[in-house]
Amino acid sequence: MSWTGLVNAAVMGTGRAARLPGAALEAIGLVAGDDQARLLHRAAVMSRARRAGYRPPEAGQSTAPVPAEDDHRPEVCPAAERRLAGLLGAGDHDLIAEWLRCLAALDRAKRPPDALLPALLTAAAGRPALRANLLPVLGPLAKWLAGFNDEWAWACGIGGTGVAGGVQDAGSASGVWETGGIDDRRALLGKLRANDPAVGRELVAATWDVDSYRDRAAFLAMLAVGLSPDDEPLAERALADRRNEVRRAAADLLARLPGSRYSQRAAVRATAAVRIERQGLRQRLVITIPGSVTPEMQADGVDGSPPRGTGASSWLLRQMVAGAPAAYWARHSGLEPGELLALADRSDWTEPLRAGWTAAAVRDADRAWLLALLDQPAPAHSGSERHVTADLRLITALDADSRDAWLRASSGNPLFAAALEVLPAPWSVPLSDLVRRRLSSVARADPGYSAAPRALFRLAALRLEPPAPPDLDPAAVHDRLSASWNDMINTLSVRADMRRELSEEFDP
Amino acid sequence: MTVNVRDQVLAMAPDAAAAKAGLGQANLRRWSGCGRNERALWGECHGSGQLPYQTQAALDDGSTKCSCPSRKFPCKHALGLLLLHADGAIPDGSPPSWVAEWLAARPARLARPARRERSDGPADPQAAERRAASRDKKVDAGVEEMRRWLADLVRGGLGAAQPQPWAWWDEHARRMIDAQARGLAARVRRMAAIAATAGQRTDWPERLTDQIGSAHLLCEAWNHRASLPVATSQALRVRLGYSVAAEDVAQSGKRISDKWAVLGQRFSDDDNRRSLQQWLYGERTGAVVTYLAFAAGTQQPAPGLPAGRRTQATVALYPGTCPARVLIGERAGGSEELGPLPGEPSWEAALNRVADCLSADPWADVIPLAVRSVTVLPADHWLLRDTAGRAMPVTAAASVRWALLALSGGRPVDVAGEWDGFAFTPQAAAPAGERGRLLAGWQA
Repeated sequence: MSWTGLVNAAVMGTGRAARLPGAALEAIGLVAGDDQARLLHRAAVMSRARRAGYRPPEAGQSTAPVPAEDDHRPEVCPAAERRLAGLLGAGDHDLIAEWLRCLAALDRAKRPPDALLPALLTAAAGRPALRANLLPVLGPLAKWLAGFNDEWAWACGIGGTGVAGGVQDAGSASGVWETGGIDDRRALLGKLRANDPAVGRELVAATWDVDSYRDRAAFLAMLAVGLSPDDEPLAERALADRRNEVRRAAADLLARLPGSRYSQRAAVRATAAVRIERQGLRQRLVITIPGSVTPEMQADGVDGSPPRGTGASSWLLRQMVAGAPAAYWARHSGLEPGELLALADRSDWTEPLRAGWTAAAVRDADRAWLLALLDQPAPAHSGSERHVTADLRLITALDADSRDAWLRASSGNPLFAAALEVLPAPWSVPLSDLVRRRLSSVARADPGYSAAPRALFRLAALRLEPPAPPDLDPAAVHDRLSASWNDMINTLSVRADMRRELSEEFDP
Repeated sequence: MTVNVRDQVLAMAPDAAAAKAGLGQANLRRWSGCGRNERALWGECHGSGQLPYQTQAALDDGSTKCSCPSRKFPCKHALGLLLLHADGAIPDGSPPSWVAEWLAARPARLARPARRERSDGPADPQAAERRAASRDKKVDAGVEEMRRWLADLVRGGLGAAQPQPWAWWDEHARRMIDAQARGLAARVRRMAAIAATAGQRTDWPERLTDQIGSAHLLCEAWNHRASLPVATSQALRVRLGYSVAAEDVAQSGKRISDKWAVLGQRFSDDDNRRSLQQWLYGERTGAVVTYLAFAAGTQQPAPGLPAGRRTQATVALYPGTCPARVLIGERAGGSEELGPLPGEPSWEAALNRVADCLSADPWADVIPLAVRSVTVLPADHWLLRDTAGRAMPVTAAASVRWALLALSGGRPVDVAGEWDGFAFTPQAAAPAGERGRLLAGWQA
């Protein structure tokens, strides 16, 4: 009886099977007795024999994959590999991002450990922030692996070092665009807009009529990268879209385009709404708001239905102000943003004017406006959550240097702690020094019921640059803060070790 | 075990987060009643709870115990205590009762002959014989019951047993534990696991038949134990669940000194008993042995050698099983990175080891294998093809398979892992000529 025959008999059960031909076994003295015993005897002997004699089957040649291209960057040293393995095991995504950032910053390019690449790709698949840190250090192996796992498709064709090009050929791009999921399409469009904006625009236009309104709005927003006058016709067409969301996205896009017909129309509307009246040395704002949304305004995406709690006129004014380019106001009025804000604060329309200017300043990343809005808060600035959110948007919109400078000059500002949070790692060296001084003073005091000191410790642990601890005797730290303080010191020392390990040269 | 160097203490941490947390505990302000003698360290650590945690560490092998509820091992308190010791911050003292009890309960270690004197005293050979006879009787009854159960199983057919719920199998497994035949219980649970995953494995009938064959052979061998060769009867006792005293192994077990590469390790949690299993490959002798440690409840099994590294050490072999279980004795120096992996040129050559193993210990379920230059064929069912063109089926967690594929980059790799009679689970791999790496075991 063969092994397969035995397995079949066992699955069926001797109670149901015909009597097994056990004569041969009896002949060699293996068995006496009933069918069950015979089957068990056979199973005992044959299962051992099968194991002892097992040989794997022959395989065909055809299924072997073509090997990945060589990566000429050396792998990081074993200590760095162990460190990353530990972080991946612990799921410490903050420090994994830091590890990747330090790797990318090395003078001599190295590649992440091959064996840990799948774990990195898996961790980054659902985390856009981590993905942004991972992409710059990926090489040909990641591209090769992505060919076996659709969840890693985003890692395809994006070269850190040594991968040619980065943009797929036109044929495969349109294939992805026409059949891919939304994430793949976004990734493709983002990549194309950075490298070849016209191709990206053509793809968006190609499927415009069949895409859902959500996708249409999302794609329009993505055209902000690589935006040029060539994009105007498509955006103008989108202004006539049947969905409000798409019209809004189109208006926002056109407002970013200097000299677009839309900006000119918006500037005309802004001029009509906000006039400066001079009486001798005194100046004041004269606000004129149309009674209702005109068809022309509607065509430009102005929304006639205010959200709850906002008056209709206020809502219109805000949109009219926001529609014009931020830089328009200085040209139009000859006044600096600060002066305009002072006038606005004396008018009855402080709130909508500031909201409109804030939107325009953030959209255009207009430094003068952003700084003016930050440094001249509204008189009734209550520090409410809405104001803080708006102010954080201003800080985020600043370019890195201005932001850093503003923070250093504003350490007394109540926004300081919240602003640190939106400031990605690594902080500048002078800002880090400032934060270290603040840490030393915060750590001595009784925190009471405030969670703020601990939040600051956690933030500083990950973002101080270089990762050196504040100069404070641990004994001076308030008892109730010492656990979080130690956590911070530990994280900083892990970050310092991490850098040392990464820069270590390893000669196998 | 040297636990007086910071780096080595940190290397014991199960992951980076634990190491970090351990550093946070290495602060005398958090501790009270710290002390040490020649065998152990102890101290009470003040955490968030009302009562301090009682933490202790043995200096001979670095095993630790803590009253905290952490499932990480060693816990941050134990790491903190060891780090304080490494810094020389712990004063000499005499152990409080909770430490003394723990020390007394720990098995004697290899290379500690001083302990033998104590176990000489109260031993009563007659009483020991009576205890052994009564246990054998219990096992007799358990084996008899197992035979009946197996007969019922094959009469009804494996097809009828497969859909049975876990509890149906487990009830029988518990009866085997009551009969002090833990080995039989483990086998029944293995059958239950095969039955439960039948949906994912088309080969479950073969695997179950293999298991009943092995179980039946255990029962038969027990009944003929008087006529078995010594090696097989030792294997039989171990496979049934008889344990061998660590003292005996330390005293009389065959010793091997070598540089051991730990090429695979696995933690498992079964029925309130945690275990750690490692495969140790001797660099000079080519011996392959296994380290096995158990702990009950919230305790943690004593760590073996550092996983994914090489350590010079003397081990003592337990009798019986193949590959042999070992007790880890004296180590020399620290551990170092893995070198190139050992291995046979083909699956066929590697599998020759299986027949040798089975001839002494026919119950060996899982056998370590190492083969050079295999190509990963990733498909619905992953295969590893050797240079002779034979392809071994792979069974492993997705993360392990991807790590292996990534390490290979599509080129041949050397692999080490274990074979369960049906498929191969890779545990370590190395691209041609490069140092080996663990594919798993670093996950928390």
